[in-house]
Parts: sequence; C-alpha cells; structure tokens
Amino acid sequence: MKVTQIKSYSVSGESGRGYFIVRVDTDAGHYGLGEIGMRGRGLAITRAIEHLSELVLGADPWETERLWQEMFRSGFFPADTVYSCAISAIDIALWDIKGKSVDKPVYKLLGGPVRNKVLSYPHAQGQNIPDLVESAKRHVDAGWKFLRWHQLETSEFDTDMTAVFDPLKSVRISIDSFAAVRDAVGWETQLCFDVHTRLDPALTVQMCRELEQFKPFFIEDPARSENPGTYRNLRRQINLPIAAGEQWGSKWPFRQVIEEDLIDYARIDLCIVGGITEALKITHWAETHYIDIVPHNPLGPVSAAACVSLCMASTNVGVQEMPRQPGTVDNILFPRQIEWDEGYSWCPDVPGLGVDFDIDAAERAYVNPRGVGARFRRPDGAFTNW
Amino acid sequence: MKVTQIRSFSVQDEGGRAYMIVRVDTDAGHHGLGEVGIRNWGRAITEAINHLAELVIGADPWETERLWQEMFRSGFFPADKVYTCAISAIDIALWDIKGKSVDMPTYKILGGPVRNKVVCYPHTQGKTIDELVANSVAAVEAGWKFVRWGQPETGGEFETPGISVLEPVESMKIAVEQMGRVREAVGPDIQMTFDAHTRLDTAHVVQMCKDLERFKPFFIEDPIRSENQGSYRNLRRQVNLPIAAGEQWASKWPFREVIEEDLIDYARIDLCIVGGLTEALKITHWAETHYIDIVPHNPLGPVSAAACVSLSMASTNVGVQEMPRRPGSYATELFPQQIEWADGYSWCTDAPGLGVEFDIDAAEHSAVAPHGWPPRLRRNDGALTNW
Repeated sequence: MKVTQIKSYSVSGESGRGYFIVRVDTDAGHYGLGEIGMRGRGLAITRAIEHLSELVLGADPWETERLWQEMFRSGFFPADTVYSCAISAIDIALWDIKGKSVDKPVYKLLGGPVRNKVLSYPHAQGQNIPDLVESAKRHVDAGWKFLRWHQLETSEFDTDMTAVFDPLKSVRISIDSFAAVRDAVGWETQLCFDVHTRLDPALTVQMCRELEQFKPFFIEDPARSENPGTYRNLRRQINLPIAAGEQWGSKWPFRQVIEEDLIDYARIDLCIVGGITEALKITHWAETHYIDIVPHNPLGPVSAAACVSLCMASTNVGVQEMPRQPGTVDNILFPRQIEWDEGYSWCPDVPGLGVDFDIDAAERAYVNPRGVGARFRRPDGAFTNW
Repeated sequence: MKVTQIRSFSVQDEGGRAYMIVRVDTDAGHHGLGEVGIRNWGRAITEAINHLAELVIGADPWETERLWQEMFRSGFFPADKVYTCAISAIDIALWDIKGKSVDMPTYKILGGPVRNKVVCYPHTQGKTIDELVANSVAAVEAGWKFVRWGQPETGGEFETPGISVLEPVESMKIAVEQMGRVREAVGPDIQMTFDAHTRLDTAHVVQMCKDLERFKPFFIEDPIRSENQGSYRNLRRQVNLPIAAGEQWASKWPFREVIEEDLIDYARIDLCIVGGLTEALKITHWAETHYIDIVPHNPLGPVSAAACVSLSMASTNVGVQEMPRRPGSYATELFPQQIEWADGYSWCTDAPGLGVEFDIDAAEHSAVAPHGWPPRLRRNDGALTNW
C-alpha cells in the first residue's frame, strides 16, 4: 500500500464554521482524514502540506514514525507550528488509513481501548452573564457533566473583528460569571475556565484566588505560551489545577511543564502538535508524572475523532473538549461522526477514525483558508491577546 | 480474538544456556512469544505469570495498554521486578500476536520501520587478556562492528565453590590494560563498549574512566549500582565518557531522573524486565525528547532479541543493539526461526509478528528448573561485591 495523493480542503459548513481537512489517498482504495489546527494560517499550511507531500507520496502509510521524523526534521530547521500543523493532518490521516487497512478502529492500534467512553466538556456560550447562565443550564439539561467558558470580553466586536479588552473589568465580570454559573448549575457540574492567554500573570494570580471558592475543575492557559518557564511562577502562586499546552507544536515545549510538574492537565492539540504520533509520546510521558491529558479540540469532526481515539487508548485522561455534540453540526460535509451520549463521547468500533468527509460537498463549500482572528486592544490602545 | 492460555517454559539449549519463554495462545489460532528477563527468579515469576493470567485470559490481545495498566496496577502495589518480568513476557507475546493477526511484523505496528537493519555488538569476553583479544579479533573478522566485554575478575577462588574474586583496584588495572590491548588489536574503527556491570564503587569507576578515555570506548555501561539513580548526577560531573545504564530498571519511573536530567547517553532498556514493548516504547519516546539513544539490553534468547530489534527498527533514537551471539547460530532446535544477521547488523524480516518460532515439543525435552544464581563475587577481604 502506497500513498498516492494528498489534498487539502478548506471548507465552510452549513453552520458557517470553517474547517481545514486533509485527505490522503492510497493505491489500496483506503483513504485517511486529518485536520489542521491553525486554520487562519491555512494558505501557508497548504504550501507546507504540498512541500511535505514530496516526502510522503509513494510511502507505506504504516511507516508513521519514519515519516514523522522525515517531515519534522528534513528541512534541517525543526518544524515550527505551520509545518507541525501540516505534519499533524498528514499523520492523523495515516493513522486513519492504518486502521482502515486492517479493519480496526484507530484507538485499537494505539494500544486501546482502556475505557468505553470519554467524559467531554462543551462550550457554554454567552456575551453576557444572563446568556452564559442560560447556555450553561441548557447544556446541563442536555446531559453534559462539565461546562467550559472563557475570560469574558468587555465590549462588543467591531465589524473588523476588533474589540476593546479591559483586563481589570474582565476579571471582575469573570468572577461574577463564576458565581452566577455555580449558583445556576450547582456543585455537581464541573467548571472549566479558559483564561485564553488574555491576562498578565499578576492579574491571573489575583483572579485565581477569587475563583478558588467556586472550585473550578481547572483554569486553562493562565499565561501566554511562548515561555513555558513562566509556569514555575504560576505554580507557586495559583492554588487551582492548571491546564496548558494547546499552542505547542511538538513534545519539546511540553518538556519542562511535565518534568517539573508545573501543570495538571496537558492540553495537547493533535492537529498542531504533530498528530497522533507526537501526541502519544507526550501522553505517555505525562503518565510518568501522573499528569492527565485534556486534548484541545476546538475544531471539526476529524479532530474530535482523533482526540477521542487517543483518550480511549490512554490511561491518563482528565476530560475531553467537545464544543458541540458530535453529529449535530455540518452533517452534509461530515455525514459520519463519532458518538455522544449523556456527556460522554466515543469512537464506534468501525475501521479508522470513524469519520466520513464528502469531498463533492467540500468542492462546493470552499473558503479561502486565511483569516485574521479576532483581535483585542486594551483601553490605552495597546495590543493584547484575544 | 481472545487469549485462551498462557504457559511458561523454562528450557536449556545444547550449549547449556537457559531461557524462560512464555507462550500466549488465542482462539484465533495465533500465538505469541515472550521472554523473562530474570530467569534465576523464575519460580516466583512463574507464579506471577499464573497470577496475572487471571487478568489476561479472555481478553482481546489488541488491548495491550489496558492489560498493561491492569497487570501493573491491579495488585494496588505497583509491580516491580518479579511482576514486571511477568508483565514483560506477556506484553511481548501480545505484540507478537497483534502482528500475526494482521499479517504484519511487530516493528510495523510499532510505527516503523525507520531503518532497514540495526548495528549490533556481540559479547567478546575472554578469561585472559589474550583470549579477550583473540575473541575480539575473531568477532571483527566475522563482520561485527563493535566488541563488548565486562569488568574483569581478578582471579583466585574462595573455598565456597562458585564464588570468585574481584578486587576493585586490581580489576581496574586489568580493565585498562585490556582496553589498550583490544584497541591495538582491532584498530580505531571498531567501537568498544565496556560494561562495569555495577562491580565497582563510584570513586573507583571514576578513576578507571579517566584511564580509559584515551582508548575512546563507545560507552561505559553500568558504572555504578542501579538502586539510586541520583548517583548518576555525581558520575556525570566526573566521568568524561558516554554513559549507558538502565538494564535493571523495571518501569519508566526509574528512568525518569536520568532521562530528564540528561544523566545518561544510552538507555539500556531491558524489554523483558521493564514491562515489555508497551513500556519500552514510552521510555524510548521520551528519551527522544532528550536526544538520548536506546541500547536495549539483550543478554537473553531469540525472543528477547527479536523484541529488541523490533523496537530498534521502529525507533529513531538507537545507539546500537546488544546481540551476544549471532542470531540463528544457537538454540536452533528450540527456536527454529530466529531473526536475521549479516555483517554486524540484525533485522527482523517482514514475517508476521516478531519472526521467532519456538518448538514446544523440543521444549518439553529441554525443560530445566527456572531457578538459579548468577556467579557470585567477593573482594579479597571476603566482602560481597556485585557480580
């Protein structure tokens, strides 16, 4: 079996959500699907995929370790996040093919299953506290055992997707939002709160002290990701479980925070980190430190299936991000998705990842894979992280 | 596919070498082979295998991760060497079955191959320096690219049979002389690995390594005992040679400190002690993060050899593979199918599974008690010292 073609699809679903899917074909009739973690940089990543294809076309899809090494290291410069997104999508697709070619689900090739289903958390939505509380209640009623929301915005977005973000005000209303959500859903539902790199460390620390009384399950991305050593400072000062890692493009940025036990939950993004091959290596070393994974999954059905495959095969799992109930969104593009019930997700016992992607529908749903994300400025005009 | 039976075989080959092999059968007709790393503890390990079989019989062999967790953790107390030897053999056998069940070599389902063949070192031990030199030259002439021997005994016998003498300072002197003579005989292009085998005290080994530096050994192995990994911090500051260690460690946890603090250059994972391919793969992958190469420990038989070479074929970070004897040249009645060797390199073919066959009828006639002791050493003053 040899890889014959690698194609990228940047599409917009019926819901208006964008996805960047990679399809790898073989001469054996099996194909595999991967997904890209940084869709906003999709044009560069498209070129990276074309570039890496030169290494992958003609190869046996079972040689995932060799191909990972070739893709990551062949350019002399270690792959960065643009290239690791490309590697991720190709690698995930190769795992999908491997499963299909021996008629087994991917989680089984990964050594699993170690569990039947994976506890998942949805994204509660709301631009203001009453909307957020309403959304939280709806999700709990639908069976979810967890909720997640993020550091609240402090003003509406303009038409150019910019907004003013006032850190102090955001901290204040975020604390209020916690009180309101806790009050609305009670103490049985777990609450995950994503700072999303929006605050400076001193302010995060202050906010976390206030949030302790509401017993969040974890606080995510309390600092920006460029300097993992900053988590030493946060670890000393924050008395809440810490989740981090979604922006990291290989096992190396995870090294320090795992080895020094600086985080509790490793937010590996399978579609950025270098695919299932790299995610498995990080997961296994996190096990040595009793650190659980919480795979980052803000993307589409292929990412969701890859994350849940990894969680089904891994002993050290906290919870799985699952923004929406699988199978309820964009079913034209993705006519088959993974399963969900009562707040748990799982991959069915079908070959590969268990996701289908309609390439005819995809041709009609093309969108330019380039976007500038939402941007924030502080009241003084200075740039700050979204 | 379900596991139906797990059997242990303790056997001896025509040369008197003993092996403890585990065979796992399934209802699909496929069976798998594993090997136990501490054969001298074989009676206890046999019972551990029988104990763990209660968790494995009836299970799908593809559930290697779940079964590893169940076997390692179900007794509440984390498994250590007796139980990890049992886990290792069962886990390796399950990987063999997984490969056979999809008609693929085990290295392929480990993510490989990343290389075609694995450079190997043989054991070139000799009773005297002349014999060591002769064995080294013979190995090089046979195509090996490496030679390996261990910290020499210093001669003499105590009254108790089976106990011989190793006096550290004398042994160090002999070792330096040995390495000079071997280097002279094999020339600069052959790599020499030297195994201190935990036999010396730290201060001694540091002194010896200074004297060995000029002969440029590929690595010095087990310069100290294995109980305290933190001692490698001291060695790392004082020893100016590449360091190999880890063959006695029975999970990823004892490897943690030496990998994370970059205290060793080569991780001597023993697949038949550490917890099988499942655990070895996890250590190998984190060693990659630190640019540390693996040199899997393989003093055992053909099943261990095949498991080690499978891992080395699927891993990017490999130094060299221990291969005491040429595969296929020994124990061929018991193991009619073994891995391949040519010109100092070994490889697994693309035969399904590990590519080793074990004749259980021959095993019945070759059975020996899974029990014994390695040689024992004393210093001149009568004190025990490590073999």
